[in-house]
Amino acid sequence: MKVNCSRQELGRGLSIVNHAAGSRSSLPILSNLLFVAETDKIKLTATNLEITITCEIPATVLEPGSTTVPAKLMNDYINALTAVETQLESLPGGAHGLRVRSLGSEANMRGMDPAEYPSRVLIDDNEPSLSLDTNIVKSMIAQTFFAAATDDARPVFTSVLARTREGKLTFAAADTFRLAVSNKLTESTDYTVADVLIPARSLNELSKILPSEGIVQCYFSTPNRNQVFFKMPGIEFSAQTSEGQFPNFETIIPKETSTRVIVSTDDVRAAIKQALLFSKSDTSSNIVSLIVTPGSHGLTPGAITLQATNDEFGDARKVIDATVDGPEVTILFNGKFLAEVLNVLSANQIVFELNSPQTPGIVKSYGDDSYIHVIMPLYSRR
Amino acid sequence: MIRSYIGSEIQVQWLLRAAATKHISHAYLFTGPRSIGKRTLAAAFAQAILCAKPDPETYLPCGICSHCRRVEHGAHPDVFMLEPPTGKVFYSIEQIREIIEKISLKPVEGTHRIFILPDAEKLTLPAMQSSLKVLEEPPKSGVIILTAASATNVLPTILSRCQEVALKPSPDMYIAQALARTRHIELPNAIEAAAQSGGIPGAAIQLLENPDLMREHERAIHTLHQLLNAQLSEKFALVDAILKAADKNTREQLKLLLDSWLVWWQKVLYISYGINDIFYKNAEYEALQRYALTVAPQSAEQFLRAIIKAQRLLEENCAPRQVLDVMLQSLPARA
Repeated sequence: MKVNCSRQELGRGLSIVNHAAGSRSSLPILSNLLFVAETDKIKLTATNLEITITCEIPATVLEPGSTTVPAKLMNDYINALTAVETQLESLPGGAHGLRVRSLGSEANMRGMDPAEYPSRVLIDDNEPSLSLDTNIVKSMIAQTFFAAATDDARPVFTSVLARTREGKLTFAAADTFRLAVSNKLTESTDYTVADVLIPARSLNELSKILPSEGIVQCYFSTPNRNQVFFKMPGIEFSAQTSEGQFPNFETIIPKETSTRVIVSTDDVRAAIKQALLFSKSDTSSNIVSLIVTPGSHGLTPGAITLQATNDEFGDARKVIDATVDGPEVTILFNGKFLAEVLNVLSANQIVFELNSPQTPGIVKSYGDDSYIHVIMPLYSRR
Repeated sequence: MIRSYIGSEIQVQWLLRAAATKHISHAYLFTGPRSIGKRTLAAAFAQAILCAKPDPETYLPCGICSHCRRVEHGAHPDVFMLEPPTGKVFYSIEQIREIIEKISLKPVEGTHRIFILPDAEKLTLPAMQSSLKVLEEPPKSGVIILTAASATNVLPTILSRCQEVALKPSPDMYIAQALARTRHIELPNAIEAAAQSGGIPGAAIQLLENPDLMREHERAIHTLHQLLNAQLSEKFALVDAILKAADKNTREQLKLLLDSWLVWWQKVLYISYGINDIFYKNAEYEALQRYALTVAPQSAEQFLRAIIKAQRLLEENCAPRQVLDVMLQSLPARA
């Protein structure tokens, strides 16, 4: 192969695909990038077998062809170049690798046989898909992926469930202590495929490369049903899905709640930040008590108190005025979980829906039921 | 790779059929002595499972599809061949965690994700224990293949979760012919190597590739003959000579010596029981037969056990001289 392309474009492409370049892998070829030059572009591909990213960059193709080069070396080298244009050419003598020339610089990088590169998922344009705004996908990932488990004790919980049904896309993640469910209505009402489990780590990588605006085509089912596929202008992202059965999360969401609290998001955020300083200790898991006090017949407003006590160095509390509907209740939560969910709620006011100290509580934005977060209560030995 | 695999035909057929008809168990334990080809067979089995076009009659993988070729080069994205971390003897528990993590993903290209973990003896107890859950119930596309010298070397709880495939030594003649056929080795050379391999194809291949080993074996048998013909006092002198010849590398040299003796003595036992149609009738056989007629099967068996015990004692770091002295006490007296 022999191509001319802009160094900046090449650098941009490399920085995108490098998210998928494997470092600690048993297959040596995975630390390489696949270069394919055809018609008027170069396709860069990197994979770590969990995710595969392909990025196209415009180029003047003098000789089509393909090869592989070490991912990190290529990325670092292109970043170290200063010229505007670069030329990439196969190594002479049929060796695998690339010769990179630009403004007097020349480097030869040895690669491996491109035939050994794991084959990429190919998606037919006619394959049914969902067209979503990148910001919607980004926010759905942000709202759910942090709730997935990070340990491997139960692999199914390290993944996010993606469900497409009746014109609605649902992402759900849980780690047995909390559950995050994000729903979005989609335009195409007839796109329904079987539920898939996408590793949370892979989705996090996707959100890093999603452009700030535009449309992303989402294929939640690929012909061999083992991947999910996302297509953006010039970029393709695929992730291996997980085996397993996600538990029926809908039964975990309390259907009825006795106490409903509406409160300012910023106030709660501040209160949790304060309480967390006092909740950390070896023996408890960031216990923060949420005490809900209803107002008395319009004379005094309702309030919630967030408080934390540490046996060693003291305690703290903050009282916040709130609209309270229902009886008084005190529930202990893991303060870290509360802080994490507040990070992804953007509304000015949030709603707590609670029953009793022993039942899970719901946190969501006020006036918006598209995102629901359920947290299991804690028990205190005190 | 399966085409050049030698031995254990029944097991190989059975695995090939399982792979081609997709009746694949979730976990296997390949057992058999060192160099018998457990790892080779595991990789060949992986190839058979992933092959896109296995032969419908023989169930053999085609060997030319992209799956087959990449399994052969160790470059298939759905086959993971593990080994202990560089410079370590044992597998780390992180490697088991990595398997648990990787096996939960669906296959990249093939129908299965295959994890080959050779020498399961090198799993530490915590690593074995942490693998129990995934061995019992891996995701449906996951296949785990362990290998071990013997089924008793792994925890019973691991054994009960695996389908055991026991690989057994093959007759010398079978190995010789197979070597001549698949590796294009001159039959006389193949016979010579096979006769010294103890029925283990991998050992025969090593002997062919390394003529020094072959000479070592001949020397060992020569020493054995000397011992057999020696008076008691001469025996001690011979032990001295053996230890002196072994010089610095005593343990390694002794292991080779005992391996050779074991192979020779196994044949004595077979022949003394009247089993002799599995050997080539060459000069070495004549010598064997002459000797075998003079010992009772019971005493041959007794000395065979003494060799095995000596091997174990050497493995456990006992003093070489004492090990040899004790072992030679069981050497049958000439009739």
